Amino acid sequence: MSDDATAVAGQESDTVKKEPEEFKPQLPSLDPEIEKTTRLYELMLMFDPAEASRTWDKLVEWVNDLIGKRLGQHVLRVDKWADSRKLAYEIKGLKRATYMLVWFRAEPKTTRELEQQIRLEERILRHLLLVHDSEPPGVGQTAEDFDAAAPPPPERY
Amino acid sequence: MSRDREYGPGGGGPGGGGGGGGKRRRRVRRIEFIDYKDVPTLRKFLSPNGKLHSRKRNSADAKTQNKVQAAVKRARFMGLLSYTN
Repeated sequence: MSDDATAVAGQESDTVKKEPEEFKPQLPSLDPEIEKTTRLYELMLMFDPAEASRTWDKLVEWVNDLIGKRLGQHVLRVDKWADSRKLAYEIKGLKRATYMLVWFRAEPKTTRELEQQIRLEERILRHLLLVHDSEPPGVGQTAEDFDAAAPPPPERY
Repeated sequence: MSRDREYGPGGGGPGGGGGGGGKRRRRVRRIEFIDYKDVPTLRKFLSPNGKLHSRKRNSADAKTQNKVQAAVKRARFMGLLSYTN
């Protein structure tokens, strides 16, 4: 009787309880001393696709130079999140845009200067700067990955 | 256990007591992290016109609804979702 019960319980835990997918960090970790004084930021930059395709490397260099050298912070990762993606609405006369995603650790006081520099840079159409407490899932995924992982169509309608 | 229910008011849930038809607790959905870049997921919380569904319709608890709302607004700002349709 009790044997049966444990057997069933064992089965349940095998089939019902699924181990959550293990989280693999995609960002390099820094010296703990540095991590103490900095926070993790996610910066999305929007470019004109024509400009971006011509000078992508220069744009990456510009970001690395600004965050890494001029502000003296730590760039962890720079990705092209989407290449010439169709916009939901026109922005500055453009129907498409290329997105750059920058992950970096920085001292909070440097973000003010960073945003100021971004606003002065005319090649950047729009930007979005977010702080994270820890690395979120999905770092390194591109727009296509998100679209490909799209779940089945909505339940109703 | 059953004695509690019989005698004391302590064990009663919402809407307990006479009259039948009590309030039913809603099942809510909690999402720990929602990404503003994950457009297909965000679309599930939006009407075809791009308006955010009510919390009731999303069956989201307050925290989740606020996270979804923030994510939708970010996605709109970056041109990933439309403000209107």
